[in-house]
Amino acid sequence: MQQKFRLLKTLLTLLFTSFVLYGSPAHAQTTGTIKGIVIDEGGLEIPGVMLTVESPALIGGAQQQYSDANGRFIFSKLPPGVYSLKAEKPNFATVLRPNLQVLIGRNVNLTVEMIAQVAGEELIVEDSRPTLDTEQTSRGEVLSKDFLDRIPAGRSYQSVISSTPGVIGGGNPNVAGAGYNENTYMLDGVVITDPVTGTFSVNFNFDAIEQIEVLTGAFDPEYGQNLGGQINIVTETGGNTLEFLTNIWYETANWSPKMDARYAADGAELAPTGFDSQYSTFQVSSKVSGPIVRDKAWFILSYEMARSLIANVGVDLPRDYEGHYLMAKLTAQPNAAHRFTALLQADPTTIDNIKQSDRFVEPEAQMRQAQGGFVASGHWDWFYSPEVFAETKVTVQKSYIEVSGVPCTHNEGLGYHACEDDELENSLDFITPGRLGISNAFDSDNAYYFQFDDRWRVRAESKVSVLQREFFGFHDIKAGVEYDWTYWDWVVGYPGNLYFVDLNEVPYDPNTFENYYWVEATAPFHNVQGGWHVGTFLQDVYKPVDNLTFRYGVRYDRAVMEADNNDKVVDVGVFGPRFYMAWDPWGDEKTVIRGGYGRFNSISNLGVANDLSQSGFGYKLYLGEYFGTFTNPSSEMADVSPLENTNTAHDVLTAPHSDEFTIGGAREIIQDLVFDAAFTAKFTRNVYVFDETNVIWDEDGYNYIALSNGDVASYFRLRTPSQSRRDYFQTDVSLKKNFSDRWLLLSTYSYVVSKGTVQTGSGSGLAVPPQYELRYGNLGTDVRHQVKASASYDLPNDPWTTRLGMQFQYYSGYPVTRYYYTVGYGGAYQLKDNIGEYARTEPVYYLDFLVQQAIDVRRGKLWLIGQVENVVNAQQADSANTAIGTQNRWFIYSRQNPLEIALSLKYEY
Amino acid sequence: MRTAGISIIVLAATGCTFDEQLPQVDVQGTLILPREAATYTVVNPQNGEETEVTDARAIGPVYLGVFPNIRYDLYDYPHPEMGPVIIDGTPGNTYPYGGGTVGRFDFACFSDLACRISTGRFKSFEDILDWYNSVLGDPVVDEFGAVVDSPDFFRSYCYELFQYTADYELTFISEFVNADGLDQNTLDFTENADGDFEAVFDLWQVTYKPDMKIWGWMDTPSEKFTFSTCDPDQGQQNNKYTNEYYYGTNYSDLLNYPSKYIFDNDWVIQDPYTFTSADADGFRLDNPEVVVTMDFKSGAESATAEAGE
Repeated sequence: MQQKFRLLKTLLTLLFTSFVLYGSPAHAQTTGTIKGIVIDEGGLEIPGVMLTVESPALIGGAQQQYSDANGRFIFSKLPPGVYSLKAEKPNFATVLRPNLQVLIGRNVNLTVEMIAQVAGEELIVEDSRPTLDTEQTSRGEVLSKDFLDRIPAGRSYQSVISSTPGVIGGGNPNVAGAGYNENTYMLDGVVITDPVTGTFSVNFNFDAIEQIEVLTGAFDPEYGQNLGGQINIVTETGGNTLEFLTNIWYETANWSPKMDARYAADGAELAPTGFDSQYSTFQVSSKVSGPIVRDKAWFILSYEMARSLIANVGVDLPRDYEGHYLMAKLTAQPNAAHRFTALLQADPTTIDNIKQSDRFVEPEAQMRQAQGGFVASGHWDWFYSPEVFAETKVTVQKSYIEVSGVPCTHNEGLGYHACEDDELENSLDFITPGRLGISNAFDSDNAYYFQFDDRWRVRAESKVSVLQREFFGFHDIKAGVEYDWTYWDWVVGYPGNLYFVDLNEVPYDPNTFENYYWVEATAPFHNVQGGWHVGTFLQDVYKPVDNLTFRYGVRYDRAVMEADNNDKVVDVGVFGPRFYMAWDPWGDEKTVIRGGYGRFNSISNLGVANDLSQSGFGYKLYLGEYFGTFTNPSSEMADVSPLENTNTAHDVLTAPHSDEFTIGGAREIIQDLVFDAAFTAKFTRNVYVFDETNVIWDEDGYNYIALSNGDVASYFRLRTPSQSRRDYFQTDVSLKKNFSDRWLLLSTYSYVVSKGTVQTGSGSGLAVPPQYELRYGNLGTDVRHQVKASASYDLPNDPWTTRLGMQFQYYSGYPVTRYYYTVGYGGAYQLKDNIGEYARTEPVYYLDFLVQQAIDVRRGKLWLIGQVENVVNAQQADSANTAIGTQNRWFIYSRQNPLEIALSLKYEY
Repeated sequence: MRTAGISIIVLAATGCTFDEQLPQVDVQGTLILPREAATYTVVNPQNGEETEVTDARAIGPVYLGVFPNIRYDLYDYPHPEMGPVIIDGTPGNTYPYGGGTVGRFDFACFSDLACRISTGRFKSFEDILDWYNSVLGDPVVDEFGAVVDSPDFFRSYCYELFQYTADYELTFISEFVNADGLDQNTLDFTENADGDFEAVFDLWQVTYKPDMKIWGWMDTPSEKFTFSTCDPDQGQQNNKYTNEYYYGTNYSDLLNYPSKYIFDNDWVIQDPYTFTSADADGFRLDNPEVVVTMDFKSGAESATAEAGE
């Protein structure tokens, strides 16, 4: 009882301290654990064994502890990397366990057997390691640096995470059937998810990544304020040796045959083409890391310049991307009790010629998007005792997006927006109105709008962990609190407060160019929004006996997201209980059977709240020459100031949430090779949707026959009905070899069923059901068959310096839903049911190869790298409008990137 | 452990039963049209001879709305109560709580048929050609004026126009073999034992108010078999004929201003179905059996029904 009280007191004290001193607490695993038991030849526990762990990744030097009365030990909070463990005790032979790979959020569970020794010194090296974490219940993978180096999975964290089962797409992927904007991204333990869109918001040097944990489900309460995946990126920290790496990477697909993406599904040409697209990327990256004070303070500096020129078919000017990704991290551990980390990241980027979906754009009407921002974060890890530690993080993140015309240039050879003779280089024009072409008329004169968009997140978090070894078993208890303040400030306007809309009366015929209408705005409009979120959790990893683990706990999230008039659109307080179990039936660390239940809640984002913002243009709309009344002042069609928002919110809203059930098992079938099978059922309910409040439709939802409250306009209402749902079922079988001595493998077949009524997650692109029941059917994530295989092999040409890598991915087609377009009234897509079976787009498949050859050079190693992506030059549609519109076709937005060849030089010092 | 299990179940159950407290109901019911409403007088253009034809194909689109009240003293037919006149020359708004249709205008490929075809009335291409070419004696013509007398040509013309590949994608015919291989025949109206015509209707997401009433009318076809509720300048745009050709579709304020569209010979509900407290538990409908009869012929009698008292 006294011990229970002491545990409780310790917990409460630390929690209170965290709240008061550091403002808040919480999360994201950025470390791993080595734990286990020391036994003798007869299987009896040995207390008092000195255990030492060492690693080049371990700041503060080697850590030591004695095994407890039950022969147990645990080294927590170990930075990811390769470790060795030494067990020493008089009268026993010393045991060394090298090559222990610590992965973030994972345990290395060891049974160290010591042999009694009569005389002399003896060292027993046991070069084997457990490859299964038999206490882990979450679904997903940890992608180690080894994996990232050896697999041709792309050179960005966004692209490599698609190697994980249940992840579809790059950029902002769909994870376990959730929307693309329902993931949570973390960088070194701090949230970097865009506070407005729910998407990723940060880029950085790929070579600076140490590990990526991709959690697709069943994760602990310390995670989860959204309905999709949890992507934890942990960067390198440096070490006691000075290291330098530089990498030059060039990739091109300009010479390979490409199919036109402007074809319909049946092959019909949709518009005149005759141009080839461009595709080339160029990256130069460097990083330098090392000690400031040996074992006490380390640093890493990293920089990458990424440039790409990619043009859609038919578009003259390529999308010209130039990003500069910088990261600096300082880690200091002045003594055994305290570790401090300071992280600064910035990624200023400009993208010229972003209009790639329309080939009818004059250079002066092309647009630039400048984007980027910074993350500044400070971490304090406090190792109060071997059983108790706390961590606190404070983060400030700013991201920005600035959209304008492309600055002019006097270098006419580029073909970009040319300056007038008296115009300064790189000047932007906010005076000349832009002309926007429709019906294939050219966009001309200037970009027709501009936008300046700043997004802030200030976050503080703290977490306390307590290890309790003797309370009816072993407990690893964690509690934490986090606080986010988010802020969004943006301005949108038209140059000269005016823009024209032009068309060709005869499609494709520029000789029939006419002005259709023009819009005069009173002024740019300014929108300011804010929100906050408090999350707290309490969880326990409980092992009543050695081979049985219960992971349970609950998190509570309270979130408020406001529209610009301070209306609380999102105002939720929700609990997310989790209960999982892992059982190692034979207790040999080679088998695990796991499963459980978890509820995940969405706290949403400012984008949802913005749908009810009231800021808008005051504007007048005039009919143009197309109507033959070019100067007729009576042609004013509207005079609204400000533009009225036709969205409202229903009074009774709840938080979108998922109830997830998982069951599965894994077995190490031969040394390091694991067979894994898992089943996940995930039921998502109350996803945000907009409902038409006042529209009365005909029986099929084609056209409306009245407005119910006498208004002129139709109004939309934000709701979270229970019918707004997604049901997701995923079955995986995998074969994995996570640690490479000469080869590694991650291969999975997944069978997926994804059905529901709402495709997207919360965000500005919400579903718009008509006044009509929500239709249940296959969702875009219903890609039934998914095969993923990544492998590498080191040729036996001692020393092992020739590496081969490959990746194969196959996705059966996306479902094509049959929508019809309501023209004339409202213009909303509506699903017409009972009209036939779901078609699917063609399957998509990739096959990539990588060859790396190391050459020993003075003071380092030079790598020659060649990579071929999409070896078979598959050109299947990878992005399609699968809602059949008026033409009864699905449209291909883009095809797979064609065969690409990449060459790289990498130098390691 | 037990407590945790029970908590999980309770929380999960709570989430599944989230009640939006939204005062909206979906109404299902049966509409009865008198036999006379399906009787169309065909005038022989040659000799002016009149022939009466009773056929479900003669039934025009039906508009049903849910209104606060119905009055019998506003027009010569029962009509929903209206709000104040705001725009001169435009009647007051009826402020409907909801509504729907039985059948809707659909474009049957030829401009000659624009605003003349309702869904749920014709089984097949043959059925349409039979109705116009044989029964009405007003043959369907293509854009060149040539008479369309081949169902196969009709089908191929439609497939080319809409880029369709199967009959089930054409919603103006209801007889087809769908993708699952099932025979479909979803004509809206069937003849009942009394010789009248019945149809099932759905009114989605009606804002529930106590004592609300279902009222509506059928747009009776003209002598040219056209309809007053169809706007030929609206609907989907197609540039097959000109750059600004529209398929035609219903006006968008039919239930707001019914009197603009109701003319002599249109059939109107005289005794609306009134929802009473017995039909609802709070604002949740308790599966009432809703039957309405459209038995008042506009222009043929005065609106002095008992229900109006």
